[in-house]
Amino acid sequence: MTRLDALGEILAACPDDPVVGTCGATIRELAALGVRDSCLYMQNSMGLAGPIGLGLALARPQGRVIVIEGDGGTLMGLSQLGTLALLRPANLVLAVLDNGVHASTGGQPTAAGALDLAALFAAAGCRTAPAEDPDALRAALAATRAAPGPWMLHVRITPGNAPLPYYQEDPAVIAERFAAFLAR
Amino acid sequence: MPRRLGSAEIIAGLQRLGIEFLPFVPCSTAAEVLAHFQAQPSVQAFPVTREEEGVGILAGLTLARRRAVLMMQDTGFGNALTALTTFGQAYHVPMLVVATRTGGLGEINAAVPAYSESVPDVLHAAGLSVFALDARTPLPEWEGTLVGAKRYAETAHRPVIVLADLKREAPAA
Repeated sequence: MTRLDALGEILAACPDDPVVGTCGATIRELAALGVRDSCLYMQNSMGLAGPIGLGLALARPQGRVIVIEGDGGTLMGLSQLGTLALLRPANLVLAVLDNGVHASTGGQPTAAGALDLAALFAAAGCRTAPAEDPDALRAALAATRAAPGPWMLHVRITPGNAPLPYYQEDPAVIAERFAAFLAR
Repeated sequence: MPRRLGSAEIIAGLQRLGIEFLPFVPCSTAAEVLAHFQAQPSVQAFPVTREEEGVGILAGLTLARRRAVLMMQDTGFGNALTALTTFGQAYHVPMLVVATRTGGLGEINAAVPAYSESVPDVLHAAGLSVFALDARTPLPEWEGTLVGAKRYAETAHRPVIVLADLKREAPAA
């Protein structure tokens, strides 16, 4: 499963939910699937997608919040584990797209293969589900609707990026559009 | 827990802002303020592990138009600066951070003065808006400054930081 495949599945399963997308190739591919008001495209701030999603989940407990993070970004933002464990927002879904490398910066390895990412999130009180292929990802996304979270989906993707241009929309415009979506 | 000059004014300012969420990284001089809001059922006051994580959570809350403030110690700006600039500033998030001051008169920690004293310059160099509450600001001005700082964040569409020096102990009653 490529990143683009996984992103397509997530967007199809969560058409009405706010989505926070991590920086680099992930937002390029997210945007290539159609720029949406519901997506917060992060152009930088690696490791911050999870905390932003946690804030959104606390702010609007009536709806789900989807965070799309990589394995490198997840490791960079691991401090959120304690806060997740403390607050346990039932409406937060964290999809970790794990390819074992920093694909956006040239494929340098991450340490994700040296530890059990899903076990870390399970220890913090998250429900976890593995997703090795599109069918499993669809099933995991359906499971997040059937049982309260917080959820961590461990999504295995292949290394590499779709050949796409940089996504350079003004961040202020992205945020204004996203905030207006949240206020609907 | 010693009572601190300025704590009552910070509490009054945050109450006037109607805060619903108070993520915090603790600081000994903020203990009185944090204890007050942890005892308030209408406020969700909770610890975050690191300052940049607190900035991210605050940004999410603020984008969703909830009333929230992050409290932290100024020594944590080394951790928070990338999140404040590449997200808060770039995405025009009108969020308010209240950071307690270390260094300077009354400091008891030998490790912090060099960094703490340069914090305002560091923040200014990063283009962040900063207001100071310290011995040069009469206490009756503190509450209004906090409220004005949040209004300014909304006017300027940017994060605003209030540096509050709570090191002075209040005289015994």
